[in-house]
Amino acid sequence: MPKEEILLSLENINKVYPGAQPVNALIDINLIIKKGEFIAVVGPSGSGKSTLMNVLGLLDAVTSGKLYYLGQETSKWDEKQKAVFRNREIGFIFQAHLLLAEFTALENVLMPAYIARQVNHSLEKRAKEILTIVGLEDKFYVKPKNLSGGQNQRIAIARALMNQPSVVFADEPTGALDQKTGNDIYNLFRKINAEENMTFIIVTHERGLAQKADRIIEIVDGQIV
Amino acid sequence: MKFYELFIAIRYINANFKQSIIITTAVSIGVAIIIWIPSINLSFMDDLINRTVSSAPNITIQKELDTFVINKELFAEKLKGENLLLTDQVLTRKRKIKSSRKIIEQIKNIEQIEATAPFAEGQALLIRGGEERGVSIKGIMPDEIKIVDIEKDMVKGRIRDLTINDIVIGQTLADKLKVGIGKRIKAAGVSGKPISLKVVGIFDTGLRAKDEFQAYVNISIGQQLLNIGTDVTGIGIKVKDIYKAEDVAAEVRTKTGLYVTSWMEDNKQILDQLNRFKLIILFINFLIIFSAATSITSVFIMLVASKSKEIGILKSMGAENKSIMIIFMSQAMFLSLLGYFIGLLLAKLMIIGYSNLIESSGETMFSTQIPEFKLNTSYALLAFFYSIFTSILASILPSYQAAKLKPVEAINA
Repeated sequence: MPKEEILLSLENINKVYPGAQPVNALIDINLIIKKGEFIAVVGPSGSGKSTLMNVLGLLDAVTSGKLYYLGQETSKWDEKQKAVFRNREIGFIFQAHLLLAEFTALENVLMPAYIARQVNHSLEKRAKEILTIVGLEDKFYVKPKNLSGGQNQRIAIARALMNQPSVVFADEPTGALDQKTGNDIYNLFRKINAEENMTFIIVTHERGLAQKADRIIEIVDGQIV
Repeated sequence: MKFYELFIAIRYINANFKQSIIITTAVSIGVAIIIWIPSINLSFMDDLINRTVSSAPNITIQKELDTFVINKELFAEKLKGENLLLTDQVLTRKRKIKSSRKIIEQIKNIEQIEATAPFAEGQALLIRGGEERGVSIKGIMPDEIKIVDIEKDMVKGRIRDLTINDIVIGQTLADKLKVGIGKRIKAAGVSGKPISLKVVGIFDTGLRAKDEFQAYVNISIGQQLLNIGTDVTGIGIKVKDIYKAEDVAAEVRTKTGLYVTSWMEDNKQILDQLNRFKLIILFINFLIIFSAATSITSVFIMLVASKSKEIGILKSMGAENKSIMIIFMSQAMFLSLLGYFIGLLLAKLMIIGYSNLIESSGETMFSTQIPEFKLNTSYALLAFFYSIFTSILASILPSYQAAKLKPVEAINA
């Protein structure tokens, strides 16, 4: 396999939450994810799925082991490098949509571009296009509190796609949506995955959704099974 | 967007209206007090100093004071039939300066000296009907107006070209003696021989000590009343820079060997009081800054706690630590600036309000006029730095805490 096709690789990753009784959230994880893959991460509650996503998304540090992004070892990166990488290469869709309540749908979607300090007319146009794709073409200037849970989740999806990242991490992205909307969102992910070769790593409880993925990674008690 | 931090900060300010109001109010009250208290007090002090400085020579050459008891029998004899109410009084007289011209010659080369004028000053009685008043009578030369700007305080008549028949008195004294321009009063000094003089001018300096107890006459009348022949009791000096008066006085003292005082020594109590007041103000300012900073810090700690999820979201999208700090610190900065301008306005209104309030009383302990209350620009500037300093001080710790939040912990908070 040519090296450039590998998006990220994990070597003996361990994550321990310290305390009176330390918790081994991830144990000896070895994993290679290629560019353009569509992966579902499944497992029971508390198995370490979200921890894995946080570690892969550089939101949380590992206790031991090595994590490579595009061939670069990330443990040596400082906070600033990690922040820049997250901004450019990673999109997050959290279980709870986690939108910024003070900003409109459009501003929320544009926020990653704001942070990259590069908003212009074409980027605003793109944000509107993405919002249109997720079915919110008439909600550009509405604040999250005036929208339903499903609509907010779609804003979060649009936001994750805004900076055209290499990889999108989605933690239960369709959990709060009805079946039809869930399917629409899945189809949207698939479409973007195919058209833009964007990698999707989706944490889900839904077996049906997982089975549509290219690959399923199952985690039980912090270990890949 | 170049400065998205400011965009977010402004949005947070609008969205968190209650916190914004609390911070702005805390700053504006602090600013208003910091400006108001010194402005009022320094207006009083400055007014007092200005009046004092402008109503006396910057430097006076004189000798030690003589004290003597008025000769009641002599007065009674000389003023027979005038039905005077003579009371026991101790009068003072400055010792004579025999050759004022020689002294002026000695000091004329001192660079700071702008003008000099000899005078004959001592205590005397002014008598009008049954009313008599002990006053400080000053016999002046025409050059006196170069030393003390009496002319600006003249409310009636003149001070220039006083003849041997003329006298100029203060408004309060004129009221008490019930005299006006053109009326005659008698002046009696140590010589005991009363001299009839015509009131040709009335001044109002605003200083009680001057307006009630000072009178000006021609120098020869002063000399006559004090019974000092052609000698004088002092020489008044005007200097170019009033704050160099003490140095110039020392130089004059060295050159003449006489007793020389500057306005700063003469008004040491007022100046000391002013310095003490400034120290108190410094302490009050510190307390205000401390209390305002404490309240702002606690509001910001709450704000950061309530925003921790948002901080996590921003960080997950790539916001750097310094950007998070800027978002929170710039909020404090914006609100403090807003608070400053509101406080400035409030201080101005409070000064106007105070001015109106005490205007009805008409006079104060030292002066008979209400000073013009001005907003003190030095303290307004100090308050500006205070508001910026407070906002930085108060927000730096919570902002730093916000910046240091780990994204995953913030999101799960």
